[in-house]
Amino acid sequence: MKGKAAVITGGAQGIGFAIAELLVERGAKVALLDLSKTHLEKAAGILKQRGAEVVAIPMDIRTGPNCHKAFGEAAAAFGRIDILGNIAGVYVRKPILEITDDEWNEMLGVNVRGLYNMTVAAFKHMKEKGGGKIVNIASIDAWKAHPKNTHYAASKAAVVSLTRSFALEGAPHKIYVNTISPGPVATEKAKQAGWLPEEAAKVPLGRAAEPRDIAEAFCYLASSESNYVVGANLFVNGGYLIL
Amino acid sequence: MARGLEGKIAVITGAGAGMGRAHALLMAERGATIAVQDIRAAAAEETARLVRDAGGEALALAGDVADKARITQLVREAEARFGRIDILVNNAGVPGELGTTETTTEAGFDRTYAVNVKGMVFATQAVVAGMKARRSGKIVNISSRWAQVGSDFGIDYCGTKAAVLGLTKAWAKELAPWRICVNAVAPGGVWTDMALQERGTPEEIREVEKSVPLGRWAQPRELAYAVAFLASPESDFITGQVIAANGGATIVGF
Repeated sequence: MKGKAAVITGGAQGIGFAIAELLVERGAKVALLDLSKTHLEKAAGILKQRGAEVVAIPMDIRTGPNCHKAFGEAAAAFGRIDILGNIAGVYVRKPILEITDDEWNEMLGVNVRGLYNMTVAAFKHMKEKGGGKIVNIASIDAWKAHPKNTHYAASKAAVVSLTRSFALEGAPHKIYVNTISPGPVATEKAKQAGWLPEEAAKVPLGRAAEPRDIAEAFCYLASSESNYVVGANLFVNGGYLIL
Repeated sequence: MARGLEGKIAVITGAGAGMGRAHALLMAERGATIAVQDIRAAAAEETARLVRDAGGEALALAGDVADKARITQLVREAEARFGRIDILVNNAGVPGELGTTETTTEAGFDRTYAVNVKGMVFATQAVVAGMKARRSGKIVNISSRWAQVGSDFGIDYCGTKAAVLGLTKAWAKELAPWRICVNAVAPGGVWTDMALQERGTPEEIREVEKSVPLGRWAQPRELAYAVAFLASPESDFITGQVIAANGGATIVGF
């Protein structure tokens, strides 16, 4: 990771920040993209204190121009982006009949269109630069049905599908695209939401993932050591879902 | 910089050549002590020598993985020498008869299953008690892309490698209460001597490589990276899973 530059969406909190921390620990430069300016300032401050080269870019991922602009700023800051981590996502649980049109659009706008546009921006850049690594965060909900997870599950299944398509088209250009599908992760948000103990109890390894567990898998897929892994999914879920 | 496997003791079956040797060398580089099992004594010795030459510690264990008494004895030998086994890489495998349903012989079938499945079961049985007692352990099994998508020849190989996935998933659930993680790596084409013996000349393989999205087969070391990741604390929350390191072959259904 030494000297590599990474763009991490949703990088100011939760899994995204854990990934940024680990990348920095291993010598990478990171551009944090996040909706929350407050969280961004705090996150960037922490990483800079550790001596990291960090840029913080507040942005709303829901529109294409925003994604291209933010990626362009990160590329301008570092000259070359080697890694894109598509971590930004929203999680809402609702019974099917209560999901509104706006809620559907919001879910797909962030989790699918946002990820798609960020990936397109990275794809263009990486093609010019001779390659790169893209790691997407999906979910076990892309692979199994879970009550009240309809639109979230659909958005994450789209991430798995996009991963394969980008991986196939990226392979000849040495752009490697893979997915991680976590189960329950003990982020601050999840801890506050209240469902974590019940979900963690279903995990064969006896706990929820720590954000760091996901970050370790991310770093494997973001490093050249996984260059023969193309369009694959890696479940990091303590045995919660084995397919 | 941390090397990831410092102080760990690993048994790697079939480590006398090809991918097994690559696993041994990479894991030793990352700080593990390696017990090198192979049916060919000279090959096991050679891998052990390469590990030692690179500054690592290794023990050669010669014997047939398909012989339950023998593989159990070899694991005990490694335990006696190093005190415990933290990691088992079930890598030993044979390609089988590479024939069709009608050409399959009873002897060939039995041998393929004995090495690829029975050997894996009893090597695992030999390490599990110690891992349970220490409430930690990593087992990495080598499957194949052919277990996932099939092949128009080599039913015995396809069957055994699918059995590897079944074993991996069952063991993950059975052993999770003791924090023992069990995962598989399913390689696609890999440039090994075994492949060159079984799959044709380099020119013929280069033709086959074109159908892989990445346009090439893997080098053994690229599979070793996946195995080393699954053997390291970095993957402590991953169990029952398969890393499909196949250059994108399975995403196009090939």
